Amino acid sequence: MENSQPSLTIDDGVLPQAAALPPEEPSLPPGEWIKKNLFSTPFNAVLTVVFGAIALFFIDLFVDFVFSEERRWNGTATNLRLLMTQGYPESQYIRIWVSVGFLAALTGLCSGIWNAGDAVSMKRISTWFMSTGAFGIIAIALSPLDTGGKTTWFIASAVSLAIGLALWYGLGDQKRRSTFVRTPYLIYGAIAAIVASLWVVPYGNYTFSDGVLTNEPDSIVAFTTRWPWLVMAFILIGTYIAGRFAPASAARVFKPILIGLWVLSPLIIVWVILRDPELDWDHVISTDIPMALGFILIGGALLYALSKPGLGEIGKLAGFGLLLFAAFHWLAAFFGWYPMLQKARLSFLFLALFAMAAANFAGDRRTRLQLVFGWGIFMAVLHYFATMINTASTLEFRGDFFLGGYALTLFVSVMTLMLSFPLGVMLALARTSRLPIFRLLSTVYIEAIRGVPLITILFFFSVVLNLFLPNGMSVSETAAVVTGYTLFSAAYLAENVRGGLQSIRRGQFEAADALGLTGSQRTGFIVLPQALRVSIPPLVGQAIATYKETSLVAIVGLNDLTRIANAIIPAQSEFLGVQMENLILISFIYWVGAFSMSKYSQKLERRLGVGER
Amino acid sequence: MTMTLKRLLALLAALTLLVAACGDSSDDDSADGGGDDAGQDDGGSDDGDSDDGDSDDGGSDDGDSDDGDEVELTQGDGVLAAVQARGELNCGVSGAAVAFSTLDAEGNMVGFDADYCRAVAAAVLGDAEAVNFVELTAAERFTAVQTGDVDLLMRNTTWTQSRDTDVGMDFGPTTYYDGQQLMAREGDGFSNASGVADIDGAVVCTNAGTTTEQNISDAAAAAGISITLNTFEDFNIVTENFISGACDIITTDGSGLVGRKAEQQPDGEEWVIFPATPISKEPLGPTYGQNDSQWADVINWVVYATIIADEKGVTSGDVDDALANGDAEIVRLFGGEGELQSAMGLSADAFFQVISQVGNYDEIYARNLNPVGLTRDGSANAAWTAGGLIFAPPAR
Amino acid sequence: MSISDATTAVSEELASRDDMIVCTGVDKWYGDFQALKGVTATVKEQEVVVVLGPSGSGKSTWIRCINRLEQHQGGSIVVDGVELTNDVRNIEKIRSEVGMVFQQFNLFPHLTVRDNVTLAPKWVKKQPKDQAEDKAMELLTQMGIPEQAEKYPGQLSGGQQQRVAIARSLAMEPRVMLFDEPTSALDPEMIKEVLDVMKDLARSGMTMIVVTHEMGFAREVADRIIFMESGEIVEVGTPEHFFTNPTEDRTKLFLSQIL
Repeated sequence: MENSQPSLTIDDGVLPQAAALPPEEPSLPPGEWIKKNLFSTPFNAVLTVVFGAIALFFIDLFVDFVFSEERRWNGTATNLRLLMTQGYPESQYIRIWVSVGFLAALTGLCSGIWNAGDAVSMKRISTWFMSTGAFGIIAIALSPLDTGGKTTWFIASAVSLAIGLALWYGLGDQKRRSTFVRTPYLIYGAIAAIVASLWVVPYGNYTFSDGVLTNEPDSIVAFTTRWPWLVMAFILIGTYIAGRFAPASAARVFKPILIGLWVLSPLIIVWVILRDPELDWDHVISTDIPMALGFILIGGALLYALSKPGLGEIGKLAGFGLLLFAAFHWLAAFFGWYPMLQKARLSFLFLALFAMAAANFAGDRRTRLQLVFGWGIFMAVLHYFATMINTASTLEFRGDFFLGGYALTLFVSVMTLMLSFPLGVMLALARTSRLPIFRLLSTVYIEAIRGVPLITILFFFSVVLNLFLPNGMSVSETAAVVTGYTLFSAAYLAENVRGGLQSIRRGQFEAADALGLTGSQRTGFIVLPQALRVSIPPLVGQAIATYKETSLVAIVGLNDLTRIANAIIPAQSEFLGVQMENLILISFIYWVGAFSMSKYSQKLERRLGVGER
Repeated sequence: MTMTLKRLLALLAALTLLVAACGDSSDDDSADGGGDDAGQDDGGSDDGDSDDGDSDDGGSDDGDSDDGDEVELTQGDGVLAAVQARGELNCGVSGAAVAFSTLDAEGNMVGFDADYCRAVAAAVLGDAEAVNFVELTAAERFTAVQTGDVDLLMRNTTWTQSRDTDVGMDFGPTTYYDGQQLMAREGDGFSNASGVADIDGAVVCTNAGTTTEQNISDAAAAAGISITLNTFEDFNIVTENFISGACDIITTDGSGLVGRKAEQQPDGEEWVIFPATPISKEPLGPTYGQNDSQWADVINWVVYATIIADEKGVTSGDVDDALANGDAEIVRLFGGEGELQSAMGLSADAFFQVISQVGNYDEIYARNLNPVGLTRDGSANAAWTAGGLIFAPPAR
Repeated sequence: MSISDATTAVSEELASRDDMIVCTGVDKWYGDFQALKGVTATVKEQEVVVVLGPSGSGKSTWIRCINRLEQHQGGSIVVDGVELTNDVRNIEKIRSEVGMVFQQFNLFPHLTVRDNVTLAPKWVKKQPKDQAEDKAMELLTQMGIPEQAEKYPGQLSGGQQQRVAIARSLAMEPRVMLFDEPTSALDPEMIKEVLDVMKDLARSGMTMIVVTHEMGFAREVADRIIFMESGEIVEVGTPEHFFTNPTEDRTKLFLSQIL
């Protein structure tokens, strides 16, 4: 599906940006396009001028606001590191670059191996260049740059405009429409160009006085910024090429590994790379490894036995018994009856869940071994991360949590989404279940949570939760807030998924039943995949909302991006009251994240739509 | 079928044994959980649905430095023993209180309150940096003390009767005497000598939901004038509105106004702060849970030590000299002779460490409050010898 | 009654075979409306039975009762010696032996044609992946659409989709196939390709119950024709008997409207 028609079928006409230019009409040269679309009738001309003027007025207002004498941008600039990571030690910044490099390598490899991306016609590229140039000229005319700066940037914009015009007129009409450039080349080319420009273009150190922004000579970006980004660009492009030209056999092997790495990447980055756990090898060898092996082997043997064909009800009973056993351990943990490593409790819980699913793997030796191997890999990953998370960090950072600023915002949103997704799907399934008790519990939960504002839940979890926990047990504020946010988000997610579940036609259920699929197989293979696909638009909407609403954790006192911008920096003695500047910056940061998510979801919908029809 | 059932039971028995084994190992082993950063461990738990449990691990295991329970039994069950066992002081601060506790651009907690947290850590643990700053909102500060999340609150908290009695807090000696004042433009006809009675008809702005709102209303009523009171979410916005002219007068604690004047007063405009006697009393100081007098003594005497050192003119730079040939009170305070500190459960040189690592009252004040324009001279925060209220009982 | 008369018309050879499906007095209500009124019929092994009748006559309801997509409320249904009860294990056993083809195809739109066909063999019959895929390709070849294996149902024509649906059912190696108006949702030019496949299937000895309006198919392929109206079986007989010499007035009326 990913490979379906990689190029030559994308028509400008269907893409929203080019909606003004229907595909069947011959493409107009820029001058005529303007005439036809902006000044076709006198009334339209008036509308264009009036609204154009209003738009310019607001742009001017905004630019004046941003570049006002009263704005103290150095407060924001000095605190960039605080905004991004709060107190993450500077000596450990290499860890952040390793994380970025890890993600860049994954992105590059994946887009290469899957050969992702569309193709863009030359025509659109030339319009991009032209509009960038035109917009640049207007923006620069309005900006308070000094004459030298204005000239430089005017020339840059004019070059962009000229390239666009050259592409437009240089290629014949037919050729322009049918020449395509693949988006990865465009994107990676653009990244390479931007990174290269860091070495030449004087981005930094502007001084602002008497309403004029003057560029200080020789102010290219610091060396410590330039060269890590260069390395990142090399990693990204290099891995893309490697993935693109990898042999098919290797790609086959790598695909599942890459997917697994993507799923695990938040855990790897936060708990292993950024946190740098200080492993106690004696403990690892004496306890952690034997325990993991014990669970893998004994649990594996149990699962092998439970997936014996024809075990029937006994298998289910054994699984349920194990679940009660596991639940008992959690109860014991809560009341502190007997000590036991948290990992063991978790492992028992998952063993019980695997045991309940074992009946679906009843069959020949191979199918049963699949279950056992799946269990083994799952346990290995679980124990690995549980050990990493519980090991003390080597970071010299004192505070509630070792991440702050944008890093905390990302942490809270990613963790909330990762944890609330399975919970939400389970709630949705329970709400549409045939068993009344599940339906009742799920409905009560969802309606109770949805009737309460998020901020109330966050307050409750951040302040009150610890009062409810038994003596000697406490939860850090970050953990408490993520828990509360997860429970909140899951209820909304459940409703979105339920909408998807209800849109599945009855015939799908009947066909699955007629084939003899069991209830859980029907749900897992037929109903859920289709329901989730239908739910993509609301789910992405929810993800964007979750990302943006993490700013509410600022109110309960977590130092996320919003709190640092809104409360911390304005309280610094030297930057007292520097608030608007920070808010403008973080609005932009939030916008970039939310906008890319929504763009990606549009793409995802288009792509998945192919299989749907 | 029965055969299978037996096999399953055997497996379950084996697993139960494994549980028992794990339970043992978790008791003996120290590396899991614990560590010197329990907070991070808890943070860790939110991945993998195990919030409560993880921290429980930290509680029931003997973490290498986190082994509070056993030590407490031998040393008593007060906060002091717990802090010493933990090796770190959990100090509740605001994190967004100008000059009192803020994060600098590198992410370090700085400010007057933050320095007093460091002073307590220096006295109790010998290391001024052994502080875990916990940023607390106004709503959660007292709960945090009650649940034991923080050992001490240095969060510009006003000492009031209800908080001292009803809320269940105890208050240490006041470190900063604040009071609510008003700020206006000189160009509008106000001066430092103006009083509440002069603001009849003015638009007064302050931040919402605090006692400042109540205080100014009461003061206006007492003076028999009418004002328009506008409130905003936080004081940054209040100041923006004052600069833009939407507010004639803004009011909050004097310390806050002085900082705003120093940083944000536009060129060619003169802001004035009045009345000279504030319209409210806001004594700020350390706050801790009640009924733990050992801990209370430690906090109180850390503050007194900084005041005595200031009174005697001993600064962080000349502590060694003062210990060698200073006056008798300083020598006793620094552990040169006598058992005063040991009797409190501290090391003999506890206060020597406070002054040497953090400084005396004047140093702490000058470091944090001078940059925002607050000076001691002539204010209530001058030493008692200079007509102020900063006073400490004698160390003997 | 005429039912017994008609049954005697069936060949001696057929009568001697084992019973595959035995329905005795099957009743089914939807609320107050009785959809099936004491339906009694027997389908022999390797027999092809075509069920005719006006819409709303209970034909579909009856065959949906046979694999328990609908629950009957009276009488009994025995499939290959197993009686349909509420016992889940019986239902699972019967469903794995009875294939069903729907009017609306009901293919799984998110799976490729190959995955549609291999899903149930892999997960219900626990067949190894390779074996299931070989079998799927064999069936798709038999249906004349091997080149569509990697496509999604949405990319196929109606006739192709219905053939995939037949292949999907056959992949479970059922002993009985139920067809619920398999050609009703198809454009006329696609009906033939589906009927051809069904004819081949009938010739290969599959036991089939076909609810349809295709008289040509009924005449050519059916061993017996059952005519239903208002939830009752009105007449049963060979195609020859049914089309040339029906005994019941209601059958005559129906045929006169159709032919």
